[in-house]
Amino acid sequence: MRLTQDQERAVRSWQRGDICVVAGPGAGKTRVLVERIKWLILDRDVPPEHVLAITFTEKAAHEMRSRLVSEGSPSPETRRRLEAASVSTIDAFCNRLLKENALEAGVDPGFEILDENEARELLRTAIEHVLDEAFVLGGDPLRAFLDSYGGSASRFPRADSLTLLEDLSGLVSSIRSYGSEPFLREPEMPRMELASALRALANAKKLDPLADLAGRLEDAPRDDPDAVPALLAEASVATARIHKRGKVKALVSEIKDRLLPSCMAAAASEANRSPRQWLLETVRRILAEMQAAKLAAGRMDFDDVLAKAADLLGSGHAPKLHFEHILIDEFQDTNPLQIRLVERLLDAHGPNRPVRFVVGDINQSIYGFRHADQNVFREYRARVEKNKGEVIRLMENFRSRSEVLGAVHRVLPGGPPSGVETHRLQSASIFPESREPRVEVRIVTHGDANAFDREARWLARRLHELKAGLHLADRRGGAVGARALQWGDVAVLARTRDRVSKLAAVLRQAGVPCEISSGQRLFEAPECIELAAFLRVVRNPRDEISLAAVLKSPLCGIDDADLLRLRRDHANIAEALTSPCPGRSGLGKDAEQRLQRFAKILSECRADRATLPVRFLLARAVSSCGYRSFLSRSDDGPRALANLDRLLDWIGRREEQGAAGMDAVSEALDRASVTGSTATEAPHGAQDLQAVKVLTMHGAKGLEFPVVALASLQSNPSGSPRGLLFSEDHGIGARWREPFDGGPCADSAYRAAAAEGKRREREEADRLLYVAMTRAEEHLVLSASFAGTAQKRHWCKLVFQRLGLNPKEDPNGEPAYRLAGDVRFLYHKTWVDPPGGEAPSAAPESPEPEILLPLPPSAQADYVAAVTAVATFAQCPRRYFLSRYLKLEQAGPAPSLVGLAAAGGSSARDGTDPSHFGEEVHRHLAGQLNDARPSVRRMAASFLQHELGKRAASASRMEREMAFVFTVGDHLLRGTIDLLFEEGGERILLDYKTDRVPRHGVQRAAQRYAPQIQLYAAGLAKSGRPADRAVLFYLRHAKPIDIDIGADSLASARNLVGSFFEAQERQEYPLKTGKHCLRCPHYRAECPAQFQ
Amino acid sequence: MLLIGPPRSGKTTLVLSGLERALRADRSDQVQLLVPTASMKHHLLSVLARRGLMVPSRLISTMSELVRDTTPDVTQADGAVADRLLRDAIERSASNELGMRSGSPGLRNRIAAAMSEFWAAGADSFQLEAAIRTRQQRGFLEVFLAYEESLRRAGFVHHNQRIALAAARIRQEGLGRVRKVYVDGFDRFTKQQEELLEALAEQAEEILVAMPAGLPRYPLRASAVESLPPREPAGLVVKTMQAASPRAEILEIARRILASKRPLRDHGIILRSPEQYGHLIREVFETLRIPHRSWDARRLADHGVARHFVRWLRVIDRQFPAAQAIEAIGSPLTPAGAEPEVDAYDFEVRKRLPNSGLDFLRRAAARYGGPKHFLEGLRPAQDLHRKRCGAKRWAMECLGLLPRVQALRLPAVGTSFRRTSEWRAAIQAQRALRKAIEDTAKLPEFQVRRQLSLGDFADALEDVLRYTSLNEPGQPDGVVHVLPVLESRQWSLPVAFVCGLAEGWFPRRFSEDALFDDEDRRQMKRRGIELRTTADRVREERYLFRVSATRATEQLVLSYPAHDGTGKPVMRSHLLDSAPDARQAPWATLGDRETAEAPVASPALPPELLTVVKECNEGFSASGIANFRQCPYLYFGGNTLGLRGRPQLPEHRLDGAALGSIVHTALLRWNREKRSIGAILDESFGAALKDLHLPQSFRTEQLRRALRADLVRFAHEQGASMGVSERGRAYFENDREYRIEELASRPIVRCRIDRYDIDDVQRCYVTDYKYARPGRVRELLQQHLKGEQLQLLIYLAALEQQLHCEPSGMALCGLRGETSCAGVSVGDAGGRETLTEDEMSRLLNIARTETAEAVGEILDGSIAVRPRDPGYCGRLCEFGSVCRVNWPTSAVPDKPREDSAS
Repeated sequence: MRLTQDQERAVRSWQRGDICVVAGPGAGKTRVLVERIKWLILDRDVPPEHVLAITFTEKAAHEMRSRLVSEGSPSPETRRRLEAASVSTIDAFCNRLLKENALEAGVDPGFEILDENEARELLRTAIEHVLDEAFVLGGDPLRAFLDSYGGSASRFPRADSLTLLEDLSGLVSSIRSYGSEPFLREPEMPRMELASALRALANAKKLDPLADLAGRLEDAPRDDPDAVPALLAEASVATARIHKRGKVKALVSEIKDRLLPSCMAAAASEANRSPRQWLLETVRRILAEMQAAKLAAGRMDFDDVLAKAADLLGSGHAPKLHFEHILIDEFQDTNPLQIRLVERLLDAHGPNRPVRFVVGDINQSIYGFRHADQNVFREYRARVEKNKGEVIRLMENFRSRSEVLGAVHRVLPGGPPSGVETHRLQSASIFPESREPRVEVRIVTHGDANAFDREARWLARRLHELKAGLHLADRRGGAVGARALQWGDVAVLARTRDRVSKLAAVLRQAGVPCEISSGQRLFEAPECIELAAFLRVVRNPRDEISLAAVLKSPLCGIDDADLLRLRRDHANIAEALTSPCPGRSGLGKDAEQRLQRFAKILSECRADRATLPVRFLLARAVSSCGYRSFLSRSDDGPRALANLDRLLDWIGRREEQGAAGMDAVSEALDRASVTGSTATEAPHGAQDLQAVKVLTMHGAKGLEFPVVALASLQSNPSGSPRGLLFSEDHGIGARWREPFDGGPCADSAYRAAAAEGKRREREEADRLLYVAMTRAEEHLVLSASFAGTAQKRHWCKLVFQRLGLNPKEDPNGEPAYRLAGDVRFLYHKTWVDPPGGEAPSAAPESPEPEILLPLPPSAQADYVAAVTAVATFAQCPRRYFLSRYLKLEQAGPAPSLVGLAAAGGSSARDGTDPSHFGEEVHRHLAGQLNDARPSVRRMAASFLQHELGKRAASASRMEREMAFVFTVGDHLLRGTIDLLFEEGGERILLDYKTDRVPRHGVQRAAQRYAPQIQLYAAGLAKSGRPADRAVLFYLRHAKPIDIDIGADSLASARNLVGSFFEAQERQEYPLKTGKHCLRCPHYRAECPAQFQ
Repeated sequence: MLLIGPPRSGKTTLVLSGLERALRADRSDQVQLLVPTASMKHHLLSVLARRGLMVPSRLISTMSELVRDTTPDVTQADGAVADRLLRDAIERSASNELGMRSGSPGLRNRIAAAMSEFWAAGADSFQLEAAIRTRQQRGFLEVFLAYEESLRRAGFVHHNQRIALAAARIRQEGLGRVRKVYVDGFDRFTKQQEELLEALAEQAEEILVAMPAGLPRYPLRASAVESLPPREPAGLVVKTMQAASPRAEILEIARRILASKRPLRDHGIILRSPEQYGHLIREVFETLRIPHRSWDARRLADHGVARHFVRWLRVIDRQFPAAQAIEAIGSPLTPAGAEPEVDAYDFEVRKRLPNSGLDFLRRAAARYGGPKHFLEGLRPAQDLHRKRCGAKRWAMECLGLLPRVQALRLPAVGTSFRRTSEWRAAIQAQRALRKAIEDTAKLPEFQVRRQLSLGDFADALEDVLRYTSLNEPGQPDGVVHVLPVLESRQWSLPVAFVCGLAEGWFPRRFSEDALFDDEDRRQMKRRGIELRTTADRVREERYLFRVSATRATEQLVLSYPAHDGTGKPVMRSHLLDSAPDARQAPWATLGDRETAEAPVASPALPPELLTVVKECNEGFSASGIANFRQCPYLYFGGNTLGLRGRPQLPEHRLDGAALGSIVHTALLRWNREKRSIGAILDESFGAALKDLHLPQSFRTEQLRRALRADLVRFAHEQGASMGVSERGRAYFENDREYRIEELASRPIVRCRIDRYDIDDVQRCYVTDYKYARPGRVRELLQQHLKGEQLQLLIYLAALEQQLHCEPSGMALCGLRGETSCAGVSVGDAGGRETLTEDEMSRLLNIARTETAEAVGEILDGSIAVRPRDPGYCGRLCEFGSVCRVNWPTSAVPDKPREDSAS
């Protein structure tokens, strides 16, 4: 599609200085940004590394990067050039800046970013620590503060611990997002002004006591802390019955609405001087504590990254930057800290200030709760206009039908005091003719709290109707045709997160397949709840509530009756897992099997929980229980599976970040569930899933849908303003207790911040509605439900007033067409339940899981087996298993084993054990140990002085301690020949033995080692020069024993190798009991052999 | 001679042929092959052995082995030793700004990496000094010099110095019988390694160095060069696939491996970003029981065995804080940890958190033999935190402590291969741990006489553990090989999967270096110091891609995810542009063998269990009835099943119920004792803290003050009337039993009435004190009047039955935030709303009927999930995960029942 004239102008603007693009919803701003980057690099030859594009979400950055390199199929060279441009979120940009200039910025070069939840946890820990410390160290100032502090603005403020923690947490976050330092500002009290207004009122109303009060107020001594508050209280009482009407209306308003509250707030500030100071100090300590904790861990949160980057750019050590063009998307969503960063980024270029190309729309500024300040964009736009810079307005809307835009303009015409600016959006796309109204308003009224349920059910019914009858534009093939609506075309948006999940639940029940696209928290998803319970059970199965939840879940799958049966037979149902009593429990065969299978899985998990990462344990348990398979067959299978995987990833990340171990992970998961961690449900990737998207209005920003239903318009975000607020101008403000009646009283800073916050909130609510409505392409449903006064809430009021509806109108329950200005819409107001009986449409088919058999434990073997291991196996397979396979008999201290100490097995494993001695002898004979002990030297001499030793000394060729690798059949073996020498035309293979064997038993003992020597001989045969003779040399008796290395013997040894590998495949190591057991180090320890 | 050729041109084949010839001619002692890694050595030894030869291991050695064997008398500073020396060097260079941050691991890593780069480039501090530009670089130089000085003083050398030393020795001493040296597998040499090659070239009759083509630099410049042409394997199939996420990508790879008819060992997965995929592959493959081997070493510090022991050291050093101690005791690695009673003991201790001390733990273990015995054995460790001694002594203490606090349980014969492997890994980790303890005592800083605390030693041990690698035990055959790309260089696999081909992962994204940026590096290059710039590293990524893409002989699968593990979108790697067969992979659909079912919720228990229900419910309380009426399942979970969760943590113990109880106790005492209510509250609060095992903190202090303020105000405002206008004689907190006539002798409903007043004409009025706000109090009264709440009505009915008085009024007195009272009475209002006798009678009937119904339903086994207040389910009900009411299929509660009276 070609660019419009305005878009073209925005893309190709080539002036130095600032360019501001005001782009309404659906105006193609991403396209403009992408095209501009391409134009700068490809047409204007700006070096790509001199272009920086900043977005505020990862999604937007990815979208821009993808479109940059994919649209128009660029050649590899073009793609490389475009990719070299820096397109990233502001956080990622700062991250990179700091990493590259870590030392100048004074940060750890290997710093890692704390996610939002971790940062919140850290802050909370810091607050608790500081407050606990304040309590322990005397605690009087803390007590004084608690006496004075009034808490949140709810009707009955309470400075209880949780409220204070939340209040402090909010305050600190707010201070940090402003990038400011905490401070207190002493207020001006307009006492004289109030006195003079009271006097004027007294004169006008002829009220002498009031005049007297005014006089006393003027004369009140400054050094008496109680005098002024008392007089203000008196003034409040005295003016309470004077109404704002008649000639004195303005004066009374001035006194009641401005002067008196200002004076009282200033008095509150004054009266609480000490607690305020303590509060300031405490906030400073909390900030310092947090910083110290982060520094110690080498980590930073997002605010730190921004602040440090801004500081770096503003310092004398700023790196040399060479951006020529900086493009910023969604500028209306910037907060003060981000603005400071952007300004410093521009300033850091010195005289070669880059061109700033900013895209934004005040009407879409909805992130005030993250301290985004839409005034920044407004001021920037004004400045650009004033400086004769370029301001380009893109008001053509390529998204919505004109009927939808008409409704937007009707409900939100803009202008003060609304938060929406007046922009007339022009529909620029062609849609097929429609005789049916494309906007509808649906209201459900009912006198009980179930109005919302009814609304949701009505909405479901309406969506079924629309699916049956509504046709949408189909632009395939170049022409605009019509197509039937699919579930995937519909989005239902709600203002608050809790409404999203409730809506989705009702819609699903009514047969509308839906997918929660935002708003649902990961940890609230059923599968996460079940697995969190499972981890708690792994920690301690006596946690019966968690255990019951797990037993009833598909992880086990028994029912309530079975639970009761278990309870009947056991004091704690956990005991049923460890000591089942099938005779009594009365569990059915199936339940018994399930329980036993689960008990086995649980027992394995418990045994492994200290040594295996939790993510492995959980993934394995999930698989063993068939849980994954169950989820894939459920209605919401893809999403449930995606949630499961995201949970495993979340656990994995926590483990990598140091929360290692079952306890730490389980606790982190529980905390995340309780504190409402912001991890959201996973997208499952099946983009073609035909389901209605249910999401929050904030989550819908940047998206568009053919049909949009805005549900539950009456709902307001809950919560009262916190007891502590911060503003850049007034510093920290708090609500205190009135000294006289203990009632709440805000200080000046709080009053100013709260008033500002309230105004912003109201304005932002308008913009949120604007954003939500403009998500619709073709059909818009506005829906509300209320009982009582909810109809007076802001959005309901707007819809009623602007569309000319009367809330008191007695509805007849039937839909009717209405006209408001040029907006034609369908109006349906009802109080009854929707008629039942609508046929639920088929749920989307979840892909049938392909069941693949896990591999049998075959083909498992030691890749390169040691010849000595094979020999040990020949002697006794069980001894091989214990000694070699489990490696319980290696040199050096043995591991701590249960039961081993009692058997006295460890005493022989110190440095003086026989194997260690033998090793020394071998090394000495190999010439690797020159300063050997006398006993070692004596032992070696027995060979060196023997005839064989003398022959070896005169050998023509000799190899000592020769390690080698060879194959027997398909199996690899390794071994080390002690001595191989050629003398007198004979090739002799020799192995030393230091065993304590009686002289008469040497011959028999040697047979135990025969397979080892024969395998060595078999290996040598592969070298083309086989050994002529093989000898075992018993050093203690200086006695050589010849070993048969004839063809039959070698074949037998090769067969042994086959048996060895077969045993490994089967994991079968039978006991071979005999006298050798008495010499076995595992006898009466790890080995169960009984030998008499 | 230099043998140069692109990957897969046959360089290694040529080298192996040379070795084979020597073996067959019995000249194996005259040739030697040098390779970069041990795994490559073993791989090539196996290749030769599989050709039917007996291959002496010395035939192939790594360059490190050669250096080590040539310089056995030299001590090299590695791992924790190097790190701690560096930390010391940073601290000592106090004049510069780096000195303040010696504790920052990122800074140390950066400095260590920069020093290695300079050493590898053959630059000395003089050359570096000439290139210094910024104050940070000057700071670095100071640290560099200080570190080299530390090495010298401690008698250590760094890795590069040792190689240079080895080169010198080879020049002096020759190569023995070795005549021909092959070098293969390297794609880069440091200056010192080049020097070593020169020495080898001088001493050997012949040297052949095989290297990939296209490298910026080659050693042995004077040598002849032979180039090999590229050879494409015939019939290689290249596929590209996309998956939704890394997990889907690995699942798809697993699916393809399992579906293929080839042995597992024919498959390899090549990774550029092990940090993104290493754990994931292990998790998915273990879950699907696919044997695999990762060729990436793990840190000992990450193994549970090491973590467990360090945790015990910390517990002992911190004097047994109970919260940490109980986790350590409950670990299956602790000797007592596998005892079944340790779970009960765990709860016993958790109830009393926070607490500390071995004595406390032992006392708490009085009833638990296993833990008790284990803790007795720890008594000698009780005072270790006070002890100061040398590192060797601490190492002995730790080695003595290890078997006392850690025991591995033998797997039974026949245990699965996988579990046996894990056990083998654990036993290997324990051995390595012992070695690490010994190595800790040998750290250079401990060689001078120094008195350490246990904490100091544990810190050092943790450092050593961090730098100790733990290789996988054994080398199972028939496994899928998981190879970091650098490791894969000499591998040849029939089927290779190269995953994670996303921008930033492969190729990796590089930032400029924080110490020496690209401009500095270019400057240094001009001065002859070869440091890599970002552009060099980008080029290397392309080379690595070529390496990984040439490992397969028959099938190469290149894959990338659309999103990362957190759901953020990632971009396809531009390296894939050279693979034209890009197509969308199907979504991974691998399932598991087992299938599971969730039980279908039943509204009632089967008849044969009703006797059990009766046994569990011999009596009823008013609050129990209220629970049942809120939701039958709530009653079933809490009362019939009597499910109990784990003890609450201290910060959650002072909950609403506990506060209400404190208020009730204080009010009762105040009424009896007639003392200051503030003082009484303080006493009651203190007693409650003691019962709940809670120390005073700012949390408790705030709550105490809030309760105190509420009660003092209440006492001040209401005085002796206790919020209710007096009507005759008042009675407080009596236990009453209420028999439901309709059900004959059983069951009993117990009532605990806060207060009732009986006037002289036997009319009774009940009052309930609530620690609630006025709105809630009013709401509760309205609910009583609608018959939705029964508590006060049951009380009245109980009084009527037991005392034969006339129920005449009820009131709720709220104390929170402000004192509020809401009540109704028959006839004489006394400031309350009035109620007619008929209305009162109707309400009492409702109470009786509903209570009887509730009891009947309970005994009939009703366990339906039927919440009266859906909001309660989400916020307050602790059995939400058991009843599964929040699950999508049952998210909408049934319609509330109609009032029976209406």
